[in-house]
Amino acid sequence: MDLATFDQFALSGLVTGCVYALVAMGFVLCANVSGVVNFAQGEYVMIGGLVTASLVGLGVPLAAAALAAVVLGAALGFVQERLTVTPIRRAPMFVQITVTLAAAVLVRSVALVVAGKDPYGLPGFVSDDVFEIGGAILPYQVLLVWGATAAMVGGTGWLLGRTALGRAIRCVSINPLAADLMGIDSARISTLVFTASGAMGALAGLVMVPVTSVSWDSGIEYGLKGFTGALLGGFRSPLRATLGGLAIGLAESLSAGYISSQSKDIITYGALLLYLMVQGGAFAVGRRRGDHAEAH
Amino acid sequence: MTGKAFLWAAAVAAAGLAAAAGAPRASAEDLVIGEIGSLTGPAAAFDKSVVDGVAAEIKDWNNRGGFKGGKVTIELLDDGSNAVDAVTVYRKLAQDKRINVVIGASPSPSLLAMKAVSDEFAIPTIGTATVAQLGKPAAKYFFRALPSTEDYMSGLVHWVKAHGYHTLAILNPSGATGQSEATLLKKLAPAAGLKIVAAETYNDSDTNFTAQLVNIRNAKPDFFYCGIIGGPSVTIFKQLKQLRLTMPVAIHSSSFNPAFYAGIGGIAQAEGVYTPIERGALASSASGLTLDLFKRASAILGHPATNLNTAGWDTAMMVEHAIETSDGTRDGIRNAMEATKDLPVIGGVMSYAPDDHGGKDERSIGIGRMVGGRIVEAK
Repeated sequence: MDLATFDQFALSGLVTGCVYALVAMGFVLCANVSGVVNFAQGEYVMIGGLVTASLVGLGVPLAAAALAAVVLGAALGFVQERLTVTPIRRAPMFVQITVTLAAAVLVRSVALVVAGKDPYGLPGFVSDDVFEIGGAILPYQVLLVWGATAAMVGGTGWLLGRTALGRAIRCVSINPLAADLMGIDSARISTLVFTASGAMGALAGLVMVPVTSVSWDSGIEYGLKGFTGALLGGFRSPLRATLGGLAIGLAESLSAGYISSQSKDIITYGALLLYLMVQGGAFAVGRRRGDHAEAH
Repeated sequence: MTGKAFLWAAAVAAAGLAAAAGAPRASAEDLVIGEIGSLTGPAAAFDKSVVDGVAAEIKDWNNRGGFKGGKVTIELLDDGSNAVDAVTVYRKLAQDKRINVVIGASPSPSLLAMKAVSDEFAIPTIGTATVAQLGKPAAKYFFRALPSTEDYMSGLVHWVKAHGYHTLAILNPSGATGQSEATLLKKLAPAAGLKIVAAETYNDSDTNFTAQLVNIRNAKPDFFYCGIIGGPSVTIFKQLKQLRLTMPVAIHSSSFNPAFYAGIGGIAQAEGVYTPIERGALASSASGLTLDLFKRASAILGHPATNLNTAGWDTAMMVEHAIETSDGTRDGIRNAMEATKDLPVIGGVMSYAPDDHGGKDERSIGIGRMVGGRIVEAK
């Protein structure tokens, strides 16, 4: 195996994997505090990229455009939570999922009307040049992607593990009723997490624009892969969801490179299916259907 | 029968005969050509330019005196880039007794839907798309104006071989057009003595193309056809440059557009890139009749005619030729169109045969190269 080629596949897979990881983390945080799986998660990434690229195209300085995109992403998370998540928290699961899917379609459609169907790109924030690492060639922008991801994952870990707010979030995610009884405003925590999730998604989206461009429908792919990463991580731990997202990015790049670009989704989703079936006990030796229920 | 009743019957019969006689023949004073264009919806970005090209040629025709001294006009209806609506407006035009020929400036799905009902409507129709099935098998009343995808790929393969290259790598999207190109290249390249050393695919929703491009780089092809269309074109082209793929590269002609240039950091970034393209796009650097027609089209349009403009112009030229060499009836125009051999137009020549309603062929394909911000014929 050519090590430089492996490095190229793996490192570039880790670039897109970073976005999947942040989306996966958003999925898990939002689902745990609200009980709702938010399928509009990928749209935060799209909004971040599209707003930044559009504003820069209109002559707005990059820093101001990026700030506006993050604020808009946060606002979108806030509004979505207040208008479409809070009112349906006790509705059946299929209603919740349908509502978040509808919210995603709505955001996407507005983006199409406002920004059009053409993709938007940006030059690298620092440089459009490339650097070499282990024989792999990467644009300098990926350092920003990796850095932003590390900062957001590290910051979230610190917040959850070391602060009173983090303890409150964890408490709400474990048992909202008990949290309410302990004086924690679980509704407020939910709004806060959605808002932060919107902001983080937007930040991930804007740092990715120079690497991948962005268009009105970019959020679909990020949302789907992020959701898959969250599933791989078990949908409980933000850290495991992050690792799941990175694994998806890595798997699709390696399978496209070493097996076939035509069948990379078959391989990625086939592996996921297999993993979930193994996790679900589908291949457990010595058990028959119903054994699990009988044990209880 | 009383005298009064006889007069009534005679009047009704005369009216019927007059209507029947008037139905198939175009008026000498005011010839109306039907046109269906995708003026709204996703295909509008392309087809508006084709519609402009048609209008320019009709204006040129009128400037030269029109049809037998009468004015030629266009009845243009919008299909909204939608195949169902295309058939609806096609029916409307076919039922209009003033109209004896229809131009379809619409995307392939709309034109395929129109072809399916063309025998029923029995009005000669000429469509401006590249899908081979529009021309073959031949439907009695339906004609394709533009070269087929196979003509484009064949032109590319023969040019690559003629310029001393021996190996080829291809990258195509997973959609119908991309996979049609990939399938054709896998068939045509070996037949022309070219070896395909890498054949990669991507999905429009993909965000990372490194694996495909690295595999192509590692295969060390002499020439790379990067069939990028639409969404991810900019990202793929940027990654192609970043990953230092240094072999000669051709991209799909539809990617040469202002949004693409802006996305890749300016038109200078595309310097030296090749594309298989209809000769209409290369006409500004041609000579003789081609250049003369190109100048006339550009003068009427008010800007240098684009590839899509010349596609519309050439289609209308074919219609003009068929009307001028026929009796002006629907069947007369159809027969004249089918009998056309090597009609010179801006983008090459147009020919039809009873079993091939394909119009332009590989002779209409040139290989363009971006030089100094202009696409010129690659020598």
